[in-house]
Amino acid sequence: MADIDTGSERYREFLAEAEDILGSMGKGLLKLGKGVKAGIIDPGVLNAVFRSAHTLKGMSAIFDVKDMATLSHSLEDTLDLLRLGRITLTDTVLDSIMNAFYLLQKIVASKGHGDFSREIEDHKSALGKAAHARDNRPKEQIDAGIISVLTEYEEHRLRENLKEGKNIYIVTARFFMNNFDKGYVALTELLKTRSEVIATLPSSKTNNEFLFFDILTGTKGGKGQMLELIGGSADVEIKVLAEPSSRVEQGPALEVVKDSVRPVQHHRDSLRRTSDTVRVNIGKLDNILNVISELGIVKSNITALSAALRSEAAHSVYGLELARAEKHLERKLSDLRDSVLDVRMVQIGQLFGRFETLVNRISRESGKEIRMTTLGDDTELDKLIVEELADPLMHIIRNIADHAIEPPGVREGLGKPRHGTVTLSAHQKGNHVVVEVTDDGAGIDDALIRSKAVEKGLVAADYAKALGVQEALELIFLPGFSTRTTVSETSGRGVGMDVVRENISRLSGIIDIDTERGRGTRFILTIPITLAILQALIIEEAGTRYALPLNSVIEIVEIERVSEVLIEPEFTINGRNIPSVCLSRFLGKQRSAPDCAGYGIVAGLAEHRVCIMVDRLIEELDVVIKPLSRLLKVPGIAGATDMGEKGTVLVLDVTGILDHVYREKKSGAGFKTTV
Amino acid sequence: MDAAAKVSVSVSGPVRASGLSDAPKRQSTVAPTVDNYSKSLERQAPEEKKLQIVSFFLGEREYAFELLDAVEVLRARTLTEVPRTPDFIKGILSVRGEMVPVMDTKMRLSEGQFGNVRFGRVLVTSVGDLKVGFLVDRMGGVREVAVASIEQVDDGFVKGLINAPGGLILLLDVVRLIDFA
Repeated sequence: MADIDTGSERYREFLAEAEDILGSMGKGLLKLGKGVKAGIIDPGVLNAVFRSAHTLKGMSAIFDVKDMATLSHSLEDTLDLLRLGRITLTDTVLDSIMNAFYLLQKIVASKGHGDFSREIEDHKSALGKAAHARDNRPKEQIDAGIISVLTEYEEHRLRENLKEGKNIYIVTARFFMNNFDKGYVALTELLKTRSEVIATLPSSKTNNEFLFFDILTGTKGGKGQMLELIGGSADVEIKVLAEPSSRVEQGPALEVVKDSVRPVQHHRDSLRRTSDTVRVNIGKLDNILNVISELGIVKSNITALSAALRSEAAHSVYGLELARAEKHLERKLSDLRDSVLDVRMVQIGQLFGRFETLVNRISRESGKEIRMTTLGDDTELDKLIVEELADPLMHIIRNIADHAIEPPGVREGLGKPRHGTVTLSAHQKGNHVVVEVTDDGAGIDDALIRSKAVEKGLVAADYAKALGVQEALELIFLPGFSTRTTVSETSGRGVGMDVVRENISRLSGIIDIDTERGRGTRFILTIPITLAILQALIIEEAGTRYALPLNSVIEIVEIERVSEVLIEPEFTINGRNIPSVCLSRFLGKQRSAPDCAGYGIVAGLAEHRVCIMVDRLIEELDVVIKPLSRLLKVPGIAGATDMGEKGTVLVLDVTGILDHVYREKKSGAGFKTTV
Repeated sequence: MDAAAKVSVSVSGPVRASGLSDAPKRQSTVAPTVDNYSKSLERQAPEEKKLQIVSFFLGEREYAFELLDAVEVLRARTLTEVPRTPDFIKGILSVRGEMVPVMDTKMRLSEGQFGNVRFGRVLVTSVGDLKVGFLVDRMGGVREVAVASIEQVDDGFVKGLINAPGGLILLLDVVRLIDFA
């Protein structure tokens, strides 16, 4: 390992890529797992998994991560035997593959520092044993001339197709020499919609003008259907190699595996990376966004200039021209900003996919039956936010698996299905994405939560008793709270839910809990789509303007005059008591009028809510937030934003305000209990 | 020291630290690391160490920072006040997107305080990557003084007294001035 710097950029990229590859491998393995149960193994998926193992082997050898190289090598061997049909994919084989996969994940997570050599030996022998279960089924007779030119894999696919009763056709096509590649790709893509392309063989008919190919395809459809698909072009003819089913055409039968036929596409150039994507450090994108926002300030200077020119009679023509050019600049700037933001967006499905393996593992370990379903996988979110969501979602799911889902026997007794269901869903709502984790378990008992919180000394008994149901539920987010007395492998260390709270707050997200005893619980996480640009509500209080991140705003209410001298009231909105604070009082500023009037902005962060009272609402703006200097640490101020000609305004920090309000409230409650 | 002539400086343009004026005379073949750079300085002027300073006025009194501490001079536009900060922090100024706290230098030095901020200038300094602006009435200029002629003092924010032809200049210690957090 001497010459590889494990802290280097290259090494980090290698780890990131290994993670990606393992991610797609995991998905493939899950599909295979389902396939084993259903009795249909999709060769495309098997191939993809094999390729992942192969790539991983190569990469880890380059970076000298020996454990990973050894393990992925034996994994690759086993997968190779599988895809060639030398061994059959059974539950045992799949298990040994899955275990090797989990170990690979562990190795990547250890960043190449751990020593896994002993575990690897176990896995290697398990994989080796699996490989001995060779498949010795008799083979059908096929034209030896054809067989001799096929690779072992192609031959295997040919036999499999025959075994499935598919018709084998040889599609002979000719292409002009100068553009045969395009024509070939177009034809094979077309064929793949209805058949499996088993092999492409260069034909002996090739002359100076034309290239001829024999494309071996397997399909459930008849020759007529294939001709129809190709469209009867003169450049293509179809010969029959084998037609085991002289059954009448039954195209729709293909529907069953339709979804999985597609991945076969790469099998000819199998090991080359076909991806045309660029991996970019997100910091670089942030830099671009900064430059764009500075351009915005330059633009607003031009705006001022053009306005000045227009008002001068002698130059008004130039002023108008400048104004037009400036409008154009503005549009392009906003396009530019949108495209950079778009680059940061990824689908949340790639995150959801990771939990499938987790849920499967938990249900295997805990003896509970848990299924996971996902909705809205294609919802897009900023890459950074997706990563930040991984931990909170994992903790929520583990808690559900441990605490909410009942054992199968209990569930049957309650008249529920044996298996519990965890649903992960995402949908966009304005500039937010709402991620929901729903289970059909036992629901949360607020009385139990109260007594546990008191027992653990997290809150005073009187305080716990006085809380509303919703507030009591929120006690689960306190650090050190855990209702399980035994520490389990998956959760119950009492770290889970406060991690959720912390990470979601960091994202200026909002958590809601919706629970019904015996029916289940829904955790609703509302997360901003991106943190790079902040949507802000510009408000005015005591003559000064501030920006309040709209991410945190839940609703705005008009309020009556409330004297500042009095303790600020609690508002009851939707059955929840929400403490309030007068902004200028919070910031320690003098108000000319002694009473707060105007608007109450109900803001939330994680599970907390607060009502911030301000004089006026001005406008909504997209702003880029800049930190105040390190020298100025002001609670309740997150930073400032330069709005060009409108000057610089401070951006309020809802976390800071909430912390302050809740600390006051709690100390008040503590006081009551001691008297 | 007649060489220490006053160099006028455009108040709106940036003031850049330019290093010692005779630095390029003897070229070194050694790579210019921080270490051998300062060594080469020592070799060149062992008998006559010079210090470049940038001076400014608070009322009629002249003060200075080391030129290396200074970044640029800006007009004092409207500052954005920040609540719950010391009184001598007048607010923040956005300098090309970066938020720079601006200090009322008079108040910090207990020499009164600025009336209307708008007529002054902001001298932006940096300590490492930390930038702080100082409100001043007007700029003096950049000049070079012999280190030997600086009287070292340890009096709060003043670290040296410079006897210049035009009168006494108080050399300020930026690090101490911004140490209030």
